[in-house]
Amino acid sequence: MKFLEKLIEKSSRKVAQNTSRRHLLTQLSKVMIGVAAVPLLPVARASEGPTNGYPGVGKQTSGLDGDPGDPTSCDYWRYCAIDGFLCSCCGGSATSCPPGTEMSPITWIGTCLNPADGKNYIISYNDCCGKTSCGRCLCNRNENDKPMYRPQANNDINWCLGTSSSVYTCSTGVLLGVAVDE
Amino acid sequence: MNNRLLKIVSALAFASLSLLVNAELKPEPIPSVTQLPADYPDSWIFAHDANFHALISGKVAIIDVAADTNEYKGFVDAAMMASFVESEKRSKLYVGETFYSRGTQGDKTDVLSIYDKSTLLKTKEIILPKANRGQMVSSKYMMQLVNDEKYLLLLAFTPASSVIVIDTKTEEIISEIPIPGCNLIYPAGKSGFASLCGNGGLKSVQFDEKGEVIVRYDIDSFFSVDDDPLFDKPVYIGSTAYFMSYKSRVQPIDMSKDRPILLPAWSLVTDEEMKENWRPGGWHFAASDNKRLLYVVMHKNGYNGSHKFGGEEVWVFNTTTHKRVKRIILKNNAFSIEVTKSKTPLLVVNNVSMTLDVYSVDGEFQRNITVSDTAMPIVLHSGK
Repeated sequence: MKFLEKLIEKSSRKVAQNTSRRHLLTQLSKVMIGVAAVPLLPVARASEGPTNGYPGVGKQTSGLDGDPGDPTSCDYWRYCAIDGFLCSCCGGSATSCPPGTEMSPITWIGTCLNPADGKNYIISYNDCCGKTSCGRCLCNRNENDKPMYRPQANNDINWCLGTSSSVYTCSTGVLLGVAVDE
Repeated sequence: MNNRLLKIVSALAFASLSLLVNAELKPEPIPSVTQLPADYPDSWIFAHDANFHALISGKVAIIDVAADTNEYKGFVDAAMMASFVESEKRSKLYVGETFYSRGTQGDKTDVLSIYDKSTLLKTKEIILPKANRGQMVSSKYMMQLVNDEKYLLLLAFTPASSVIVIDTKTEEIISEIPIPGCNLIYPAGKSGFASLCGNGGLKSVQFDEKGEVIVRYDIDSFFSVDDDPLFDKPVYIGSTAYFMSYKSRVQPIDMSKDRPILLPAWSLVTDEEMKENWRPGGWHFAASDNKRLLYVVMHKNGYNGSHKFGGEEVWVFNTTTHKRVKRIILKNNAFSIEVTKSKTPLLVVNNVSMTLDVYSVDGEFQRNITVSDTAMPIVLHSGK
């Protein structure tokens, strides 16, 4: 599901609980340096979740050439329109659901720029369903997100539809292909 | 003489001690359960905690935002991205919600739960036979009362979208109206609603006492969903719905007639402010007061994707002159806001730390209220 999350709660409160304030400031300053050309609101920084991963969450790679970044970090390129708990932090991966859950067959779609090759890719944000909220790595980014009247491009809808349980667990970002310019 | 004085002092001291003994606390009755008045004071609001960390157990808390003591009045459950609306006429609260027989697994039951406002006990549960209630991050426009509260409209989404019509007197479902290609429920006309559509158009429907559609209008695309979409959370002032766009346009729509009328659009920002990318944003980021003013959460340096992150200021607009009349710099960034309908209105801000900051409508900070230690009270409903 791609709900709007608990913005600051996820990032700053949890970060504060698990790391020193100095560490937090260091992390935030990295974010600010990283996006210095586009100043973000404090809330925006927070709600997007930490870059360079979450405290107490081990880093990962997808293992694919040309797929840079950490799938347990909110700034991983595929997550440009994700809203939910990252399945890669929950026993699954960026492309698969945690054991015992069920992947939603229908979902919403984002278009994200892969920094490795400069190409835009179509990303399918399939939800994993059937267990309670994972609760790790809450991440909300809304590039090209549209309101609920354009559901296929909206991340506020619970897409645990067509599954045996509509209870939302976490979200994936599955690559469907290169986006073709209209 | 001294002896006599000593006796008197001793007697007084003993008497005082006896008084203390007599003032001991008395046994208290068990069980004891609080009740609320049937009509709530106008400074009470409903704070909908979606509880993303365990969606199966959200709640709607009732809070007196004008109080410095006993501000938390009680709550009703609201499970699985629930929808909520208060009835003004019937002293009832309505919650659209979803349950599974084994918590997260088993048989699914979608219901409309009806609560008594005084006891907060459930008085009726209407089961939705198709179990097709829409589950979205909670929005006021997933459920609405229309036609002087004669009907309750509840959004279904499978992802085929439709509107379930419930008679509030008989408390029975009377129909379901498909709204293909469109979504959400905006009260319109005497007995109907409008929905925004994926092509940037609007669909409006009027229905009869059987819930059958008697009038239907499809208004062609009037905005670009791709370039500058209208947020799906307008503010009603009277029967005019003020929709705002990602890039600060205001599109008022007169919803008083069967066929909605597009009114002239205007902008929340000056050319200078547009250059600075001041934009509206958050969740339910706008509200109105009893003077027909429009309150909007604004953020500077907006960008593609900043529209749900809230903002650092609330701008207040005269909806007749389209002029900004106030600019409130917030103590904490806002995510959602509401203004009470009370004689002395209060601006309530769900801040980005997910607690409530209460201000006068002039922007004077009054108090902070915690809804719960883990709450995400992202939708605030003023009392009616």
